[in-house]
Amino acid sequence: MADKPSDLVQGTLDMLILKTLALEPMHGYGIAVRLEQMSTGVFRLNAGSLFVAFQRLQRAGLIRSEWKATENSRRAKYYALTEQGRKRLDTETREWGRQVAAIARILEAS
Amino acid sequence: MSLLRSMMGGLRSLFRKERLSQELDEELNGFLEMAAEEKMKEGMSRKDALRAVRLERGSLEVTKEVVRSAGWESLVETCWQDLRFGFRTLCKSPGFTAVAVMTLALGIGANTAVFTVVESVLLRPLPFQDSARLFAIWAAQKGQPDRIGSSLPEFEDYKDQSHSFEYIANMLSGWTYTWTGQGEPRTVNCTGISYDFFSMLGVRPYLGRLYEPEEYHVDGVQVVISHRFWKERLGSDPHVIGRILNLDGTAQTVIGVMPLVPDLFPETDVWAKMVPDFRWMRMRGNKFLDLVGRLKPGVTREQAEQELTAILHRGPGESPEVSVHLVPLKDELTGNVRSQLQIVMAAVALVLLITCANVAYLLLARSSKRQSEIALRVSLGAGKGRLLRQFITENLVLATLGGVAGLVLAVGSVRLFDRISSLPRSASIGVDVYALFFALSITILTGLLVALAPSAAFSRVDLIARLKTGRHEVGSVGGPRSRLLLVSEISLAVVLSVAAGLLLRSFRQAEHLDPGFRPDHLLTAYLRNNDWRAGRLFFPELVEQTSELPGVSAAALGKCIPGVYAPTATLVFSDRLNDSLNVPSVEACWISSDFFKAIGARLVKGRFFTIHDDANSPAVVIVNQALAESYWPGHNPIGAQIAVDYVGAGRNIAGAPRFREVVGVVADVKQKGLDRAAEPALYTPYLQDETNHAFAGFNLFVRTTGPPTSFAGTVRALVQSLRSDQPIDAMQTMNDALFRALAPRRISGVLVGSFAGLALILSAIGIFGMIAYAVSQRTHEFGVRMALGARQQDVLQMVIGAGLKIAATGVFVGVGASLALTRFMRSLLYAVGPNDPLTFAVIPLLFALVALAACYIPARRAMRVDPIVALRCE
Repeated sequence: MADKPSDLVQGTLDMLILKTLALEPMHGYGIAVRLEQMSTGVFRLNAGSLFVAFQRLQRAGLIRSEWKATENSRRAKYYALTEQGRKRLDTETREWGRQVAAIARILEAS
Repeated sequence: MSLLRSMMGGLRSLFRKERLSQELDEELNGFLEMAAEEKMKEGMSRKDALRAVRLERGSLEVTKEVVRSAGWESLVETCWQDLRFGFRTLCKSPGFTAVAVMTLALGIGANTAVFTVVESVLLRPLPFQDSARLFAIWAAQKGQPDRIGSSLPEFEDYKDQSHSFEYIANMLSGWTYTWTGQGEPRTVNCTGISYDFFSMLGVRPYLGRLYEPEEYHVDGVQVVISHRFWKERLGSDPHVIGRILNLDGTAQTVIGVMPLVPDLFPETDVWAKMVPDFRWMRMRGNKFLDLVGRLKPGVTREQAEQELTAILHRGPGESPEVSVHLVPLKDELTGNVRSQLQIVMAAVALVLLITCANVAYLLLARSSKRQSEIALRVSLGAGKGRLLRQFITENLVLATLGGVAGLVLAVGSVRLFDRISSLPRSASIGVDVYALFFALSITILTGLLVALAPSAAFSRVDLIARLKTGRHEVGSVGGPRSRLLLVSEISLAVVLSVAAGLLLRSFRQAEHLDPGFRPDHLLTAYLRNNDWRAGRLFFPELVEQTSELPGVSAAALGKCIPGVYAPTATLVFSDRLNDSLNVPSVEACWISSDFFKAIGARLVKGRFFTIHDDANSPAVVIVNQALAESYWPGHNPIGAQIAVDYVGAGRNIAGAPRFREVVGVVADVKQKGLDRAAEPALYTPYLQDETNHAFAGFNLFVRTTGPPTSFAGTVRALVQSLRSDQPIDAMQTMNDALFRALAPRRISGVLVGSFAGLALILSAIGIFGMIAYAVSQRTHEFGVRMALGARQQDVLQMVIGAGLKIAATGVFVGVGASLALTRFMRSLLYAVGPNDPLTFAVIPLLFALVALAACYIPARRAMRVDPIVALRCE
């Protein structure tokens, strides 16, 4: 289990992307790398699901995109959190905390 | 909000597809490069790095496809692709497309047209206030089909004592005034109405006002006219209120114009008053009024029926066997065409099924040709769901083309239908939203249904075999699926043809069975005369002078019209006990002495009337054979005594009717319709009419030696010379009158007959197509057979035998289904049983011949196969 990158819990990818973008605007590869780093290699992201998520978030108005030059002077699409996205992240984080706590309590009780 | 944004995003990507696709390419390429650079930093070669990234992150192309198909717009896009592809494939085989679209257009068009008529006539609510609560009210004796109208005293009892109705009104239609003083005297059609009639319908005057209650007690003086009369006869006169019309010799002031009331008494010119004070109106036994009521909300039809029956039984001399019935007003208005329309609707639904089977069969044949294409596409990675969707889209395109063509067909044929038929509520017939919705639904349904058989065949494509051979599959067209389709198509067509055969035979029977009179060389006209005193002088004079015209062999008057209409009378016998609560009622008719001679009826016993059977001689009556056999079975009725009591408006007699001696028995004349068996009927001499009511109007019958129409002018001139303000209505030959009376039967017969013809042609095409295709596929085999010594006849027999086997199965199933189903149309048949042996013999034979012909043409081609050519062509 531990040696194989695991699948994300359904519906959490959006939250994680938002969280990643909360620090600074980033391009797609950057987001992927950051997510893998932060999870210390537990998650390995498929480009397909990542870009579908970008499209979905952008359509929902939670992130916006802009073409910019990277530090290696390559052109890349940078994603940034919108005001709405920030609010969504706050509520999702709170909700996640509540759920995790609840699940933990249930698991401990038995 | 986010839904809107998602929509906008989707739309953007639909319309700026190229740019967005480029952006995605660039972004993903960037992603790939960055990931690869990372790997290269770890010392990999560029090639290895790119490969590693692809393994880790998934292929770039697949990613692109995944991202692209994630949005809803991709669905729209593939549908659009499918549509275009569908059109392209259809355009590539124009012959197939034309046949399929035409077939579907016929099926959908015919269904839409018939639905339009059914919807407008039978389904659409009447355009009146709370029309669902409007009911016609009439009585009937237990176990007898005849309806009994109401008398005014009964109506007043209902009105005073019933608590079920918001309104209850009486009316009497079908009588006339003579309008003079404005050129030639004309007849205006009247419908008499009681005070509540229009309030009940929720209809207000278009101009002016309605009658006040107190005005109802005075005949004439004021008159309310219909919109039609105002527009067509008075030229939409804007100052019509106050205008004076001379009706039946009295000046009447127009006080109101009613708006169009298209569904109720469309022929009405004058909405006259029902004056309750006439003596003949006050007679309880004089039951000729039509009643309509609007139920209070929450009161059921059964409650009201019980209440009115109880009220009726409280009246003096009423039989406990009689009960009151309520019928929704709409059903009442459309009752006589309901069953005709229903059979047409059933027939046309069968036609739709047949067209579906036919097109499905065509598609199946085509899909077998397309199997290599399908196999190729599957092997290139097309998913089955995707293929199925594309296939269904293609069929929907086909169905839509058929639907559009069908709608055009429907609009045209509804107009035609409207013109040739005399349907109730015909003014409101038109293709409306419901009809459009119906057309759309059956189009989609047809598309799906038609796609069903071949797509099932698609999903079982044997990839390898198909790709290997590259040859078309024979089995699919001759296979069980297509055989099943063809067999069901033929059996449906047989059912339809049997139904049509029975209807057409009933119609023929109605036209050709001896009606008991001779309608040829007979001219008729209706002479309305509201002044009975003048009529007593005028009518005898008219008969005498008409019969003396050169070229006229007989002239007579009668209240009835043979084959169209007869009044009703009740009987009292002198030679037995009479049950006063269950009086027998029969057809009855006042006639002049030469009536039977003029219409060409046959005397069985005794004598006809003479001009000496008048008011001063003993009262006499002639009965028909049916009446003689019902009441004097096995005995001679001549000399028996019966009293005849006519039922009807204007009957004006005090005391019991007098007894009459039976002096003759006449052969049965079909009085009420050529498509009805003759019923007991009697005839009384018009000069012995003690009510005077007979003289209010007569039908004139003139038997001529030459063509009857050429006498119209002479007769008209004679009438005018005898009485200048005498209107002449409905002057026509007897044959025309009968033609009109049979119109509903003719229309349903012709419609169902043409649908059956269509079905026959479609099945012939199906058989032909199947055999032709099989022959073309088996050319090689035939070549081999003939090379091995098979004779031409053997090949011919083999091919025809295969076709006939399918046809025979279809006919067999169809005949079985018909035997089970035709009894449901018994009420539509006349003088033909539902299992009529002739029809059941001729239809299968017809199908056998058609199938033989359909097989023979392609089979001949198989027979002529040159073995050398056939073997070489592989």
